[in-house]
Amino acid sequence: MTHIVEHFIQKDILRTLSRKGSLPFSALKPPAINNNVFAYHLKALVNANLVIQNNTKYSLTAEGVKYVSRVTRTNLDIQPQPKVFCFLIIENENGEFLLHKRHDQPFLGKYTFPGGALFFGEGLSDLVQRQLLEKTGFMLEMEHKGIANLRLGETDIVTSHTIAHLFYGRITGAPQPHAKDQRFAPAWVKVHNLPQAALLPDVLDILRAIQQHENYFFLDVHMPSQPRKL
Amino acid sequence: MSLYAKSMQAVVLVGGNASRLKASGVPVPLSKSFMELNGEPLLYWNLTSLFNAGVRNLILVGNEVRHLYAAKKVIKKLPCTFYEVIYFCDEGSGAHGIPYELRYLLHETYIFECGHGLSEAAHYKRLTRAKQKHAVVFSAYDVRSSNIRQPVSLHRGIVKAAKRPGKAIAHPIVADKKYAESLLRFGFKISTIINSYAARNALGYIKNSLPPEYDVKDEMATAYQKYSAYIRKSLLL
Repeated sequence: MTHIVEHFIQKDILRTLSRKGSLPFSALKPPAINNNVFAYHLKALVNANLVIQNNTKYSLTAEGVKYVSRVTRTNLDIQPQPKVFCFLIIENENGEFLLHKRHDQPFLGKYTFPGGALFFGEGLSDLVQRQLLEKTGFMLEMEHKGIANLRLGETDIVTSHTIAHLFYGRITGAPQPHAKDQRFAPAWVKVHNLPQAALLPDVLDILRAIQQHENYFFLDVHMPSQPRKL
Repeated sequence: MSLYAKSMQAVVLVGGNASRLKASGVPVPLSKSFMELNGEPLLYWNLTSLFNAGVRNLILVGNEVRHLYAAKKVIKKLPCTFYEVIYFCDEGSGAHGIPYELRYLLHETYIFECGHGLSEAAHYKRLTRAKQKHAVVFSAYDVRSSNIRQPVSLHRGIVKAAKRPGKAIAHPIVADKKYAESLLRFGFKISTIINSYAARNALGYIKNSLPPEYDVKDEMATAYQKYSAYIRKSLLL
């Protein structure tokens, strides 16, 4: 999304067209707004490729539909929303898991699973394949074990909210992973040997859920106040 | 997320149809916020007073684009500059539910005010100072018998409906994000909201020397007289 619509007249045009389909200028213009002022804002939306004019009627372009589907219904604001992630939970024959140390905030310096965010329009299996290649270099069969709603923070404020699809895979031996970007380079880690403070608060909850549930599961983690044991 | 999250924020309602006032024969331009007093719309004086109280972030809420358009013209005429002005077009679902609708734009604490009411800058400051964690502070008024609002009795923190004219509580209020989020649970009914907060001793009130917002012609005449005196005394440059 490159263009952000901020003016209330432009928001009103998008809102009206999203509810009415297509309208002529006269029906689209709210009362008490000058023609030239309204025409200026309508043209701005046409130039941004959000609105198109067909003969005498205006309607949303595909980009316009995409825009209104991603903003709030009432005031067409971009509201903070959780990220959609996939986590790759990969175990080797020695019972070690692949973890990487975060290189930036939130949770700078703490260990978490390799993974990444879903792009707009991307399929979940494409995301898993992409993340496997980017973060591990492995070609591995991964099982979609469950989904987690992770609301985390280091104080009482939630600083990270993620909907994570949890993919689990076992690998024979303990081959060395090859990350494309060394900032995300993972390593085999015996999770029990790490102090809990060195891990992201959700890591142990996720591992416990993976081990406990045979079927597809849903996990909700909301900043555990007490460190939990595996 | 506001770049000025540490400065004071006010949510000001500028929409509505003034149907009760129109029914009593008063011509209303767009909404009550744009009725003129001392040569400027009431909203102009309201925003000036809020600015004097230290408010620098505004969310202006109208149920039609023309309200916001007129409000923007008022903002341009103001002798002061707010750091941030957000225009919010609501669905006309009622004034009390507004904080819930725009909760993602709110600061932790905010003033919730109607654009057609006027309070002294000192009153806004007193309300803000009285705000405690998880509590809400209303403005309290002496109510006359002609007032169409339900008078209440305020006794030991409990708010009850009163038969005789007593006090009324209304805008401006100072609330927090938790208040905005809880409105859905209360069904957006102001009496339920007030009683719930009062029962938990989380409802404060500060007496306002200026009259509250008005609905009928008699109220308007009294309110305008006092507003006008305050404008001449404190807001005219």
